Amino acid sequence: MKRQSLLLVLLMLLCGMRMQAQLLSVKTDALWDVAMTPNLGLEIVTGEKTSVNASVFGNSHPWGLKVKMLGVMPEFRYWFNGRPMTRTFVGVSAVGLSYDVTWGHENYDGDAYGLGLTFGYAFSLGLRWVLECHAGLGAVYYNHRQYYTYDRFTDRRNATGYALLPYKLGVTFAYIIK
Amino acid sequence: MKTIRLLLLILGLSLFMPTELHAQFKKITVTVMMQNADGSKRPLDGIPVNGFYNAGKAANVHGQIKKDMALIEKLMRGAEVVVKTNSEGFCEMELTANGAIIVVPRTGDPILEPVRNRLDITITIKDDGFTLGTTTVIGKAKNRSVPPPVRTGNQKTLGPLQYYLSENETRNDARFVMAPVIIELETGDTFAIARPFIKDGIEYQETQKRRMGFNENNDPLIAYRDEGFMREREESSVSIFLRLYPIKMKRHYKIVAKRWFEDYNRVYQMDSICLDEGYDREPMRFLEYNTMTLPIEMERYERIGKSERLDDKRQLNLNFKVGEAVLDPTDSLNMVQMNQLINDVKRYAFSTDAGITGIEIHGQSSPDGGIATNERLCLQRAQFLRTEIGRNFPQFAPGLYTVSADVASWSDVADLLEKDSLTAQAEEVRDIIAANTNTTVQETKIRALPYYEMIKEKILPRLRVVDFKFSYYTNRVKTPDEIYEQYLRDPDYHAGKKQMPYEFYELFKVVKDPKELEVLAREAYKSVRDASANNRPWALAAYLLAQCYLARDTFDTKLLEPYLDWSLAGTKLIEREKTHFDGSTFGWVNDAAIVTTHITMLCKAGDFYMADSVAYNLLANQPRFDKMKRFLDCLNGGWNDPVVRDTVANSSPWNRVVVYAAQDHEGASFFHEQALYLLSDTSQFDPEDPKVLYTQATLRFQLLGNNKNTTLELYPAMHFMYDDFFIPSENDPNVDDQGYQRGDWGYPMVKCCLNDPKYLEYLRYDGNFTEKYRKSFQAYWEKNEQSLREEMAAKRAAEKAAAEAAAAQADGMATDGGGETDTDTDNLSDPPADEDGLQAGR
Repeated sequence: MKRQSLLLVLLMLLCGMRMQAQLLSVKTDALWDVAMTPNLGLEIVTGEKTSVNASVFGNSHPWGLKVKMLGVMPEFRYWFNGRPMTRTFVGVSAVGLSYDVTWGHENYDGDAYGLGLTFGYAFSLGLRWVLECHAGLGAVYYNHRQYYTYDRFTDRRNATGYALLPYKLGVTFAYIIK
Repeated sequence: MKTIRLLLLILGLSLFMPTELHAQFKKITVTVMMQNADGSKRPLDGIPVNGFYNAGKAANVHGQIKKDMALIEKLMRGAEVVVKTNSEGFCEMELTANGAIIVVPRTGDPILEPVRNRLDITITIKDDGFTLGTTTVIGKAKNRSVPPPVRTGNQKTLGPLQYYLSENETRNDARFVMAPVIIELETGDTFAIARPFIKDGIEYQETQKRRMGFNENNDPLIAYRDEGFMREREESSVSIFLRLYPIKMKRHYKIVAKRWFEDYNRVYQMDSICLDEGYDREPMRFLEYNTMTLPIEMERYERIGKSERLDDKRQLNLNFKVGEAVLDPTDSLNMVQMNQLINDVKRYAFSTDAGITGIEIHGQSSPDGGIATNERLCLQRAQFLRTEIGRNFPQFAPGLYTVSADVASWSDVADLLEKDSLTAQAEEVRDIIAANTNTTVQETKIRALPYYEMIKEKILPRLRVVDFKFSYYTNRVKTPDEIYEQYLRDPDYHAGKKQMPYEFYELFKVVKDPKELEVLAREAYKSVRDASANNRPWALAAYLLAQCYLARDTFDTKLLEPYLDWSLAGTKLIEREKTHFDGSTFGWVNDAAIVTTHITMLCKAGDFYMADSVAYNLLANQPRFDKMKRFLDCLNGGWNDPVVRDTVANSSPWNRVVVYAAQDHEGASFFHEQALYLLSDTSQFDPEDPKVLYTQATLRFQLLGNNKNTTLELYPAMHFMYDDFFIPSENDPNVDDQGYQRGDWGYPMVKCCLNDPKYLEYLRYDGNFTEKYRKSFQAYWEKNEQSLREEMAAKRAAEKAAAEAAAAQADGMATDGGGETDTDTDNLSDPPADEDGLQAGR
């Protein structure tokens, strides 16, 4: 009986054994691509239920708008079901962004940093393809020059603050390289 | 006087009147109402009200119904009055004042209400349930029934079958595992742990492959995974096939399994099942067969006496006491080796026609414990052997001996580790050797290895050996007459202790007594080697020894293995005299006589699987072997194959019955009916033969008795009793003229067990019968065995007396002793042999 129990434990351990390969995927957020903001992400699985994701994005006058930005968004993810890049996850993400936006008659030129939570779900589209839907909410600190477009303005930054906003929303296609 | 008469009258009336008159009957109105959830009441119509004249009886019935509602109908028959309520919800009945009523509502528990002198009783049933309308109930078994495993000799197979997974259990992201364990029924020990059966969900396999670096072979369980994948909430199945081989012949095994479903995080369902209770079908249990016995061509293994010089070299694994040059007296193998060596040297040392020309003794020790010490020790041990030989053969000149010794190195240890497939360990030892030139340092580091205990126990002893080589010559060849004369005269020679190979050869031609032949064959087997054929024992001696074993109904399945060459399987010339690359002769391999003898040994051991494999691979494709191959195929489970079936069926009437009864494919019932019909022919089969009766019982149960629709816990005893009233039809002895099947299908089993109780043991584990049959038979047997035996004994005594009387009458009537007698041509114990040498008989 002990032998049988030992075998069962061994069998179950084999079934749930540690992965032997560290998965790495490249990804792009389709919604951002539609917004003419090229972005590229990399996700690496770090454990049985965790992964680290990082993406860079940037644009310059997308759709003719007077917007320029460059940002990076790292994220640490926890996968609930036990297999990374599959089904539900929650993440702690950060964002670092440099922007220069003209909106109406006002100009905003500065940086923003944020920290937030992301929730998402990954659908398996095959052995190597994954579709993720995610949304994130976070606290963002901004520090920029805000002035009217026709004003001559010094470099002094005159606007800082915090905002709680949904700073992440996406539909991402990922390809698992290895 | 009048008073006395009156009293007597009253007394008489009270004695003869029915007692119920003591309890006065009353007309009682019983109303049954249903109280709804809102408190309102409505009358219930059509409810049977059961009246009992005695409240105690009613209470008793009420208690029994509450325990088992299934008894309602039965117990309510005991009610004295039963009336149903009308549309107003009431009914009237005459009951005694101390009676009671029981009302069984459509929902809820039965209600007991004593009368207690009341004339109007209202029973209110609370509506805490509702009656379902017509309801369709779908009962779905999670797992279909598993057919009983099949046993063929020392092999048992379960499956192939599909094990169903319910849609309630299957998920995309889960893995199903079934881990079978084989338990020996007689001891309860775990006999073996079988391979697991695995089925993955479709998402599980995708993510698993990712985890394994997109190489499924990294998953250690991939070899056990079933094809196809589970899908969410869809019924699925796993293919199961288990082959237990080899198993012990007289033991029975059950197969239990733990099964579980696990997702990525946890096991969400686990339970145990029993795949097999240990009841096997053994279709070939009664098959009658003989394998072939081919005479060997002795010329192939001829030993010719001639003047020659030869070497005999052997390695002795003598166990010495630690640190000493003295044999360990507790190791019995030491004396066996020493005695064998001395006996072999004696053949030449004491022969007038032969002699020893040289003896080389080389001792070797293991490298542990220091080189200097070991060098001295192994030389002492070689000297010990030299002294022992000298003591037995004082006539040997000192110059005849060459004694040497050396110490094995740690590289030799690494070589032995590699030979044992311990490659990693061998590499580690070699690395230590390469890194350290000093042997003491090497030893220290090797001793520090975690598996040094294993090296010490399993590797080092193999390096403590003594090589013994002696050169001998023969200078005159005895004639066959001289050889035989010496055989008769000399006891040691008679015991095979003094012969040279050619002398054994001559004796094998003339000695026919099995016991004497076995002695000679055994001695020749031990002492005569084929130096050209990897020093294997002399093939002729092995063959004759095997024949002697078979003659006394024993076997050794390892004896003839060195003479089989599996690498030639499938080639055109399986049986051949092999040669080495340099053209020198190796010797004969796959000799048909040896192969067929080996097959016979395997069949005796019950190893039909290996026997079939040997016949298929190592016997040439010649017509003379075809019949034996078909029989072996049948014994190994191939009875459904039409060619095999027909070959076996045509060999004898009994074998036809056996192979027909064995059929288990679709449409097999036709063959079963045929077999049952054939068994009714008393001119072919003895109706009292237990194996005939057992087979009849098996077939009758399969065809007539195995009614799965019955709800009875046990089969009625009538099925095990002879049906006197059954008159079989002309066409089918199991059906009467009206088309009704006979009901006494269990009777042959009773007769069989009366004739031979050992069949009770067969029945106990026979998978042809259900548990219900076994229990029913057991119950009937325990109750009736004694009386049946007495009945049988009385019947036999009566038959014997009648036979004696008839014989006496016949003697009295006979005048010239004429008259035909029936010949016993159908005795199954002596079936006729056919021209292929394959007899249909044991």
